[in-house]
Amino acid sequence: MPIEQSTFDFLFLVMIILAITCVLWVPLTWLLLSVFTPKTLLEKYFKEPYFSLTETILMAQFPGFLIRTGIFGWVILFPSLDKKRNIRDVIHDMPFWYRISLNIFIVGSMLTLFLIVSLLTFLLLMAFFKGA
Amino acid sequence: MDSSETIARLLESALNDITATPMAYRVKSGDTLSQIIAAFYDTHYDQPQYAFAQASVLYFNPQISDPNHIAPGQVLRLMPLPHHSKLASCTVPDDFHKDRRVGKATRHRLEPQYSGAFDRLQHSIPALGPEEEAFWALAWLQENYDILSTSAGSGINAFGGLVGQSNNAFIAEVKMLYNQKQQGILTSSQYQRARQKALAKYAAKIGPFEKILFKGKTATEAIRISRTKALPATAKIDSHLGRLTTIANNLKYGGHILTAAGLGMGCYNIAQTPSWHEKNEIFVETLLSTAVGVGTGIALTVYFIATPTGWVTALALGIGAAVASLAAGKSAKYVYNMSNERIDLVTGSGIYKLCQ
Repeated sequence: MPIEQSTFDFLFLVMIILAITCVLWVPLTWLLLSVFTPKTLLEKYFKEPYFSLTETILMAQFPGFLIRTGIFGWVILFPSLDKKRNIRDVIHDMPFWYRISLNIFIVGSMLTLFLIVSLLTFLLLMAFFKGA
Repeated sequence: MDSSETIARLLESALNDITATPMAYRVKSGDTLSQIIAAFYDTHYDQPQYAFAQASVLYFNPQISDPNHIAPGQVLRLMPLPHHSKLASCTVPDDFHKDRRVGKATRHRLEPQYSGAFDRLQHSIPALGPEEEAFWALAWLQENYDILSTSAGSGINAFGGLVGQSNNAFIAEVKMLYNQKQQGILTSSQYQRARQKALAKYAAKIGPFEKILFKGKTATEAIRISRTKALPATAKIDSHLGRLTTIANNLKYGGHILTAAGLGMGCYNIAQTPSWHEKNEIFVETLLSTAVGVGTGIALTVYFIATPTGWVTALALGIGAAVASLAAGKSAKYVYNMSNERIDLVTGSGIYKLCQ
């Protein structure tokens, strides 16, 4: 193996700790942000023409409302991605606490996912070398 | 000390390992003892470990008089086996099942320690009948479809939402309008306009699923007032409404059961698998597949900003996320087996206590 066995074991443990952290905070935060989405935001944007009729049914409750929260989260980070939905002004109608929480949620979860997948890929490659 | 007694003492000594889990299994029709031993102890007839597994089952289940005859409905106590190294120097006598030394003293010593655990285990096995069949069906589903049952559960839940009671209210509205027309509250043209409006709203809400739910017809075609005198005028509406409500309820409960089965059975497997190595494998696999599944789910929502997404794309994205999380779980299990230290994550993380 190109790396020491002890390093391999340490990185594996780091990956497990990251995954446990991810499983503990991400789904719960996602759910809370979806349940406590400000009503003003929903009344103004969660309707036609921003969302189709079918989407408003599917994304009104669990589990569909998680996607709706994801959409709001991504659009405040990357407004330029919004080509057709036209909800990039949503940021001006969000309370401060919700905007910050969404930012932390999206950036934090994506960073954790990136670290987990990178570590897993690296360890998998090392394990293949070891097995070969 | 003869060999029967040595084996009996070894089998009892395994119970002193407080981390080992005894299990209870209700025999199903068609089961044989060798199949049960193969499933729970992962050993087959031609392997040396098999004789000890069989000896353990016979020792702790005095109700079995002949290993070739077990009856459906019997509850077997499946106890953890002693460590391999302790068994290496022993041979199980051929007549062990006839010459078991499960004295009263031994049984009295064991019962207080384990009777509570077995009572709980036996209560967790459903009574015979349809409930038991459903239990085993869910166990089979989890065994064969693993985390996909969670994704499938969410999908079915979403589809149940489409056929939900709030949507079906539009069909019920047609019936109400017809009754109003019969009572002279609405004119024929008012009735036709309101009817078309309600059905158009319904069609818009359920999208491409309209024809699936109405067996190839549109809602307007399917919900017609019956002109035959043999049937009440609103019979077709009642029939469709009844069918859709049944579908909605089944989908709703089916989706919840599948989602719960996906999450709960992972925990159940950790608690019930006898081998600590397998417990850790299940934990690592479930943990990584969940973490990557959730993360991929959030990442994929970025796609939904651009435009309202079509059903086919949504389905493809869902399958893609499920496959990614499945692959992450399997890869993590492989990496865990390559790890030298094989850390006991199940105990260290406290998940074992939680799942028990």
